[in-house]
Amino acid sequence: MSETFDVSVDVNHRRCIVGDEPMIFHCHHYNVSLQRALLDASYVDFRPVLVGAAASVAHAQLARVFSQQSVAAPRARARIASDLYRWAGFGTASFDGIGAEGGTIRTPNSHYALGWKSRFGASSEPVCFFATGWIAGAMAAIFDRPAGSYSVRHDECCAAGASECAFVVTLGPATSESYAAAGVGALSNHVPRPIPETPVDYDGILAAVSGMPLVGDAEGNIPAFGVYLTRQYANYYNRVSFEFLRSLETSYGEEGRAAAEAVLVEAGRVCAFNTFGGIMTSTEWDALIRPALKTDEDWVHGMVAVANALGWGRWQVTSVSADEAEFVIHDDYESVGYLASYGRATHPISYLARGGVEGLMTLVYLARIVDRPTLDTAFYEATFRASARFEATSLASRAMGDEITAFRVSRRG
Amino acid sequence: MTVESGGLFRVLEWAKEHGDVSTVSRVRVMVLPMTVKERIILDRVGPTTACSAEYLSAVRRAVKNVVGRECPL
Repeated sequence: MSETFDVSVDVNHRRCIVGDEPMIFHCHHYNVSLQRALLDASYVDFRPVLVGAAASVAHAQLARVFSQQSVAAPRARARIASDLYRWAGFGTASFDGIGAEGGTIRTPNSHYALGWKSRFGASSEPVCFFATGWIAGAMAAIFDRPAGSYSVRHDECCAAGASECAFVVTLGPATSESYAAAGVGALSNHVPRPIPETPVDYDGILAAVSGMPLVGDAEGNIPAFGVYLTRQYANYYNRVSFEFLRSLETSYGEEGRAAAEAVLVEAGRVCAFNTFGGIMTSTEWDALIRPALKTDEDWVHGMVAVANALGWGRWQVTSVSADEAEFVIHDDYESVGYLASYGRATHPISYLARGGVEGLMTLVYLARIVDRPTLDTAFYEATFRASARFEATSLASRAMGDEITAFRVSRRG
Repeated sequence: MTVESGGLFRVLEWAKEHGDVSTVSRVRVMVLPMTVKERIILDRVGPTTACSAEYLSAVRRAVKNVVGRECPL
């Protein structure tokens, strides 16, 4: 099915862009783990950040899409918005019956509710902060109003026992935060680094994975590789992660920064374990990639080749062995987003990437993904509690002004 | 008021054993304001680290919240 909006791919920078917003793949494990990390800091109310970040990206993107396609009628705009929401794997959201003054959107399909229940079980409170903000931003774009023109209440949530998620939309000032659009950000004119000889067909894998129909089904889910994928907004992840980091660092200094960093990196490890692990045990992997793999190092190359299709920037592994590897990332989305929104960083901020490379090395050399273990919570615990582990150290950070982001990942224990 | 040393260490060790790998990181975020006030670095707590009764209670509450049951120690 063709989309009602334009999806452009910048192959050189490994970007998928819709309405000037870079969209990246992440799974429900990462999405809800990251959200829970913010909510754990209950002495700061991060709900307005989660809602506001979503509202801001939705408004910026949809206003741009409507302008690009010269779509003016609210009904046509609402259809595009609903299509995009479903396509991205966020669930379903119909604006039928909603007018410029507001109304109620009810849906049994909401990614964050589904993901939360799937990973953590029932919640004591509604969890769809992203959907709440996204609907507020979409409404403003549909009805040609400035960002922040609508407020949305979300009191009924499937994760908290309701049969449907309900979003009550009201015309009136939003109570959430509002953020300037970061857009695609400044990308580099880079030359890929030399990599070790490998039978892995990087370009073929990128083309094949990019061509897979990884879009939302009728219920707005993207079930793939044993997880529910989303094509989330890079600028959403960046905003919520960096607001969390900056808030804790500003209020509580070094200990605040260390506390925030630990949970952000852990979310990255969870992402790698589930998404990378799911990919490396998938039928698609077996058919497309596994036949060429001869060594453990090839497995690392194979997964790095796939990571290039996730929209996270150009990933390379420039050296790899059972004890150590070096990863180079050109235009990693965290650094590009940080620079666009906050300027140059004083320390490395690519936490997803750091957790990702640690998780990948752990999967290949410690968890023996080649043997197809069952990737459940118990296995995660056993793997990451073991005395042997992989630890990444930052070699370069694009957010700090370096040309690239790079990590050395070393085995300890 | 400072309580006897060792209580905080025992609670955190229990949390590590009965929680998941993210338990201590989550507890660290939850009790951050009090941690800074007490001038404690949570990932360097040892058997002789002392803290206030109020802080130890806060850590116990956070551990219960994350692990799902009360630390019996």
